[in-house]
Amino acid sequence: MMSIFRISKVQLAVTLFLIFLTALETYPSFVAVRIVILSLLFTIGTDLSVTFIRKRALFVPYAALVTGLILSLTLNPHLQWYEILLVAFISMGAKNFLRISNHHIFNPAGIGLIIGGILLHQNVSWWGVSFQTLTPFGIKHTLFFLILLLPLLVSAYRMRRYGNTLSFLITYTLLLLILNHFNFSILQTILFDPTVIFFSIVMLPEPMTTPNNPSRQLLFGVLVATAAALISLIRSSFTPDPLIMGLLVGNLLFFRFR
Amino acid sequence: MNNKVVIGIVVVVVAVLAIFLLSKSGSLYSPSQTQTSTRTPQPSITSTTQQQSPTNEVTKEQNVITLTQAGFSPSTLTVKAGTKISWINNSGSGLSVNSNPHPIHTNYSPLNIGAIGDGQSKSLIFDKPGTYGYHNHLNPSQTGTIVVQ
Repeated sequence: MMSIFRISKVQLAVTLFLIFLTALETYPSFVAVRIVILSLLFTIGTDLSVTFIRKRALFVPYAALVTGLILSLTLNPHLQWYEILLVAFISMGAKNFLRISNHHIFNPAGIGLIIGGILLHQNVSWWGVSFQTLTPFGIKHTLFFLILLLPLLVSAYRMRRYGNTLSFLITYTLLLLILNHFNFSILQTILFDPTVIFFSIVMLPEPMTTPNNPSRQLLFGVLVATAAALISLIRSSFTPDPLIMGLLVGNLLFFRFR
Repeated sequence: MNNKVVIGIVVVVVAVLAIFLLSKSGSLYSPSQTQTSTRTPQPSITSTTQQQSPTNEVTKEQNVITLTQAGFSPSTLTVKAGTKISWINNSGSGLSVNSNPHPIHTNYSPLNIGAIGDGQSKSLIFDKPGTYGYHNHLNPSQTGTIVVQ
């Protein structure tokens, strides 16, 4: 039984659940618990159903577990149950069907969030990864911030995906400084923003849709950061989340070059 | 333990919980920072640039933005420099007022007022002329603009 915790996806799921608990402590509401349960139910259920239909086989849906937890932390917690189902369905549908020569193309959670968001006219909320800030300084905030960083142990240490994260954070910070006319007061906002940190250490280094090669990891991070910064300049009535859109652009350009 | 059995147990447990939760009537309660369930504006937990103001001053203020389930009202508010603006949350659930753009909130950091519980309010004084966009971070489709002259 303990061997299950040696699986990297399980380890990642555990860290994501801990992050959820920190968000729940700050935002203790029925909707927060509800969205976790429904996201997990719908992603796991959809993944099992689609795979069973395709292959007539059952498996332990570790990937769906991770996707469900990511969706629960990023979706607007006030969505109706059928809206959550739609996003989960799109995520798992993309995981199972949007592939070429058995290569996954898009990050499942990312594609679900963007397409679901466009259909529902809802932007990514990031509610579950908004409260883990270092300030105001104190034991609780420090602990929650450290819990937010836990997925690094899986993505950077275990899976050796630190190239993506590092190049993304450096490029994104530099570009935002340039776009904000070198207003250095925003440095703290960028570098310690829990949303940006979560994105860069959990979603960005997803192994099935990002490069393995260290040099390509660096390029991937730069590209995603550049795309995200440019998309953030778009001012329209509904602009899809720049971080997720940047990730999907990177997925599309790099899926042949792993 | 057989994997299929584990999967089956997990699915059944989650399904039962989901059915139980879905059968609840959509009653949402606010985060623990809410002091009361009434809709009367409470003394605001002001931003770091403010001193806490008594309850009756909030209710007398003209520059008040109210959040309901439909969004911020008024969505655009024009004021003179030095005016205090209050946000009152009457949406029935939590709210987090943050500066544009979502999700990094870098345009105007004092406008990152943060969490406002249901029935509560927070205020901010705008000293400098300009146009300041903000949104509800928990539901970024809800946006507003402050125009300071």
